[in-house]
Amino acid sequence: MRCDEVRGLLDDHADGALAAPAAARVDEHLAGCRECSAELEELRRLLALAADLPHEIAPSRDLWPPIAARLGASREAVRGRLGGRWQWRLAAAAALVVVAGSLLIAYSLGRRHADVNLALARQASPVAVPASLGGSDFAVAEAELVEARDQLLAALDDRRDSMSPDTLRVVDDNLRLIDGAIGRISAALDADPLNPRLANRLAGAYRTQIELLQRATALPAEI
Amino acid sequence: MRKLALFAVGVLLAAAPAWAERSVNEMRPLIPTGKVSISNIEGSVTITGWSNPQVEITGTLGADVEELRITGDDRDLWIEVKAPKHPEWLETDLVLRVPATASVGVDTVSATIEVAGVTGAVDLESVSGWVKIAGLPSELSIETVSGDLTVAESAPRTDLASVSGSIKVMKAAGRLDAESVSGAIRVDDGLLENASFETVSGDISYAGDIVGSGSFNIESMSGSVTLLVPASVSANFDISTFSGSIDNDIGPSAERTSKFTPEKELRFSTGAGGATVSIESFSGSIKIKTD
Repeated sequence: MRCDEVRGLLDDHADGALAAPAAARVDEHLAGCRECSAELEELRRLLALAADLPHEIAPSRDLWPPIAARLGASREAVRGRLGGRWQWRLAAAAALVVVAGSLLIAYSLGRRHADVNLALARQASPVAVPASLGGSDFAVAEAELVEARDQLLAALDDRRDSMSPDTLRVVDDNLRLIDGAIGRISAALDADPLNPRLANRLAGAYRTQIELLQRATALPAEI
Repeated sequence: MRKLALFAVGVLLAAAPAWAERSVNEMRPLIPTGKVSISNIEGSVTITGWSNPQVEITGTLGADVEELRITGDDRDLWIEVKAPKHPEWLETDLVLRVPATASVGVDTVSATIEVAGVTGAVDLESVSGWVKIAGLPSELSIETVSGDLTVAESAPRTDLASVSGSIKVMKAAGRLDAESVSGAIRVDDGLLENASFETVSGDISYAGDIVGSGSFNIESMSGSVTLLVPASVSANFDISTFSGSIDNDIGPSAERTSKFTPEKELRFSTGAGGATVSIESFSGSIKIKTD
């Protein structure tokens, strides 16, 4: 068998889904091909990583359950529709979503701060926002959100070939739209750094973008 | 003459896949509380509920379809269109009749899905096929990527999601969650107690009453939000936008909240209060109107 033929079967092979004769031919090739063997090892590592993902994280805001539910549903959908060939990509996306999920916890904590601060600000109208809102906590949460977003963008890039041009256009247009919103809110926050509404709005825009990316990376293949 | 005959044979061979469509006519037992799951790729899936404890499967299989695999038992039945790796003719139309109280799950790529008269839980997924449902399932979940989604009447608990497909609910009660990236969400004739509508750029409109003391959360980045409610609506409204407009027919006007930004906010209550209605946009316009 040629390398390209074998690599087309590696996902099913890793799953044990190949019929015995085909599996034997793949094994025969793997015995003499270091590159394909390395590919299979990497695939198995990613599948193991996906299998070891934590099933329960308890963020203070109820963010993780829908993400986990979607992830599980998407896995089933992809498995059902397309067999094993997308599993490694999904595993990679899953790992990133775990990262995003944990970072969203950080965001959530930041948001809770902001909510408390907003309540305080309303009590002490017109504006008496504790200085911590514009301080390092939110900056750290924002940096983590940006990191999560960038990792999901990388995962999306990995999936572009499987998405229809129309879907890609919708995703890209809306990501740009949110980027524009983030830019405008950030500029407003620079001018008014102690405004808790702006801080909340900025976190909300990142959340929307991360949810869009998370969703896009979990979409079933269209091509 | 011989050349002509060869040409005719060639034409007939080229057209063979269309001829090779196979008809389906199967019947399987399914208890009234059973579950039937259908997976198709291209074509259509049409399901209606009936009073028999059986699933009737009719229709046609595309020429390249390997088989219609039917597995499971009278509690959990699976019907799956199996395709080879590089198919050309997959268009398969499946027409099913299922026990009306059964649970139904359908998963397609471009095949359309139409369900009517099923009162069990219904879970439908399609990538690009449109989805329509009529009847009153006990629970309803529909997800598409680009397929439009039409619900004649929502279930007590309904979850709808799309990427670019539009979401239209013609009659809604209970709890309804709908989200889309760019698709419009439109809900008419609403009597909802709890709702969550969320888009990035899709417009959102809700026409109907807000009942009980639940929560309505509506969020969009750039899509417009229109709420058409009775003048007698009883709710606490919390509305804000970064750079959009807020037009309110049933209470006070919105106010700027910062001298640095165009942000506007509006909080008010009507009637005895009751439900909490939260609406937020970045640049989309927000309108509260009365009918």
